Amino acid sequence: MRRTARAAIYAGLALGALVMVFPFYWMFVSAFKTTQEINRFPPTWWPGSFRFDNFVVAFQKSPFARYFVNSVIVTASCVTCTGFTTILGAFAFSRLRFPGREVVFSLLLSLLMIPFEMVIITNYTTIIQMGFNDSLPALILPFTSSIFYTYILRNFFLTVPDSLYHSARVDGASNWRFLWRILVPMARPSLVTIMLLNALVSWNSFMWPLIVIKTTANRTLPFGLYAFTTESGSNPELMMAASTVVVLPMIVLFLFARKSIVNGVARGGMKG
Amino acid sequence: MRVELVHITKRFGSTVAVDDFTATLADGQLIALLGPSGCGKSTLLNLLAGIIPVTGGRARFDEDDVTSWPPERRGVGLVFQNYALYPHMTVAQNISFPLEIKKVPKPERVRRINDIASMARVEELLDRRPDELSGGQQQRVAIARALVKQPRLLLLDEPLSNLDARLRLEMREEIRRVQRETGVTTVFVTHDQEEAMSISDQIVLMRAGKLQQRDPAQTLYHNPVNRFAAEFLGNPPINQIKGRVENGLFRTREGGVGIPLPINAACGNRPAILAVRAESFVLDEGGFPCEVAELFEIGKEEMASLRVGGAVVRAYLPLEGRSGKGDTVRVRLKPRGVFLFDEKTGERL
Repeated sequence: MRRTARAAIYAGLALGALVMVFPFYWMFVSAFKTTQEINRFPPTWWPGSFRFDNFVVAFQKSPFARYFVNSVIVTASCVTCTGFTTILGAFAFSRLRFPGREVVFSLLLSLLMIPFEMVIITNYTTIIQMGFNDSLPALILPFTSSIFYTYILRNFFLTVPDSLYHSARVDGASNWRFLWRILVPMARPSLVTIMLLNALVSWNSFMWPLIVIKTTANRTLPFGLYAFTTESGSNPELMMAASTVVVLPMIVLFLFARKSIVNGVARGGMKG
Repeated sequence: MRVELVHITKRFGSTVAVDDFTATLADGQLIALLGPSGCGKSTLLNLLAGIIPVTGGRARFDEDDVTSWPPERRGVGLVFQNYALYPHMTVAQNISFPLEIKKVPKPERVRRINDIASMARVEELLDRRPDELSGGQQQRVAIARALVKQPRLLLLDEPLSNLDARLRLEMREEIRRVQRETGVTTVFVTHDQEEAMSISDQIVLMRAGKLQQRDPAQTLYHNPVNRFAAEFLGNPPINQIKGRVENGLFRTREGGVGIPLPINAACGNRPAILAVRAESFVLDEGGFPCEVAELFEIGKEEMASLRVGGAVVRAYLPLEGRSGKGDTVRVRLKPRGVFLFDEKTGERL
C-alpha cells in the first residue's frame, strides 16, 4: 500500500516534470532542425542532422550578439545595484535604531501592493526628463532597489542573534565592518537566492524595454527576440535557435547558484 | 584593572534594571555577579561593556572615566551565553578577528593566536568551524577570542549555562585557571550560587537591580546582611522559622516552642525570622524538643526533617539507628549559621 502510494506520487511528479521540461526540449531540438524538417508532419522527436547554421543565420539576420551584451550589462548592473541597496536597507531596517523606522518600513511594504504597470507612465516621464530615453541607463535606473528583497533580507538579519552584533562591536568592529565581515557572509544563501531571482526578472524583462528603447542597438534579448518574430520571416527554427540563446545563460546561472544555496543552508552552528 | 561603579542606574522605560549601584571591583580578581533571573546582573555587565548606555552614574576603569566610551574603546573582552562565534569563520579566523580590526600586523597576529590558543587549549581546533565543535570547545574558543586582544576587563555572561553538568564543573575550573594565568580582572554573571561560591574571589549579590552584599563567598555564607542573602546562598536552603524573641528565647509563632538562642539577640519583642543552616543543629539532651518527621540519607550525609512547633526544618543529624520517624529528639543550635532577621524588612537583627 505504502509502496504503491509512493509510486503514484513519483509518477505524478515525473509527469509534472515532463510537462515542464517538454517546451524547453522542443525549443532545443527545433533549433537544430532544417526548415523542411521543422515543417514535416508528423513532427520528428530528434533532428535528423544537427544544423548549427541556424544559430549563425539568426545572429546574422539580427544583432543578437549586441542584444546579448546589452542584456548582460543591464542584468549585471541591476543585480549589483539592487544587491548593494538591499543589503544596506536591510541592515538599517533590522539593526539601526532611528525614529520612525517601523513606520517608514511599513510604508515601503505597502508600496508592494502597487503593480509595476501602474507606475510605468511616471517612470517613463522621469526617464525622459533625466534625458536617458532610449539608452541602457533607462533600463537600469528604475531597478536599482527592491522593497521585496530588502524585506526578505531584513527578516534574515533579524534572526541573527544580538550577541553576534555586540560581540563584534566589543571586538572593535564598526557597523560597516560588522555588516560586510559578519552579516553578509552569514546571509550568503539568502543573498544568492535574492540575486538569482533578481537576475531572472531583469534578464526576462520585456515590457519596460519595449517602451523606452527605440534604437535597435539598445535592445535587450527578450525585446530583440520579440522583434525577431517578424524579422525572421517564417523560419521557426531560427526563432528556436535565438530562444535557446536567451534561455541558456539563466539555466547555467541557476545550476551554479543552486550549489551555493544548498551549501549555505547546511552550515548553521550557533547555540542558544 | 580596578573597576569603580558610582551610583550606576539604568532604566528601560519605567522599569529600573539597575538601581543606584555603587561598588569597587578590585584589580585582578574574579568577581561573580550573582542574583536571581531578572535582577539586573546581565544589564550591569552590558553597561560595563558599553553595549548599552547608563541612565545615570559614572563608571571608572582605573583612572579613566569610561561612562560615555563606546564598547570598542573600553578594551573589554566579552563572552556570551551562546558564545556568539562567527559561524562562517574558522576558529583561527574567529580569534584573529579582533586583532585584524586593531590592524595588528600578520606575524604578530599569528603568534598571539597561537599563544592564546594553547592557553585556552584549542590548538587542534584552529581550522575547524564553530558548528564542528562541542559546547565546551566553543566556550574555550569564545574565551580565547575575548582574551586575544589583551583586554583590561573580561566579562562573562552566564558562560556555563549552556553546558551539561559534568562539563560545567570542568569549564569552571578552566575559567579559574585562565583567569589566574592572565591575571585579568574578570566579572562573571551567574544565577547559580554554587558556581559563584566555588570559583570567585568576591561575590556581588544583586536583587531587583540593587546591590545586596559584596563579599568573599565564605563571608557571604557565614555573615549575610539580610534574609535574601541568607536564602540565596547555601544548599539545602536555609531553614526559616517565624516567631519573636522573648528573654533570650526564640518563641515560635505556631506551637510556641522556646528555642534558646546561641547568638546575641538584643532586638526587642518584634516579629522576627530565625534562620538556621542545616549544619547548625546539634543533638543535645538539654536542648529543645522536636519531632522527627522524616529521615534521609544523601550519599554520606544523614539528613532529618524535624517539626519545630508548626515549622518543618532540615538538619544534618546522625540519627540513623538511634531514632525513627515520629520520635522526639532534643537539639540545640550552634552559634555559627544562625541568624535573626526582621520579618518585615528582612534586615539582619
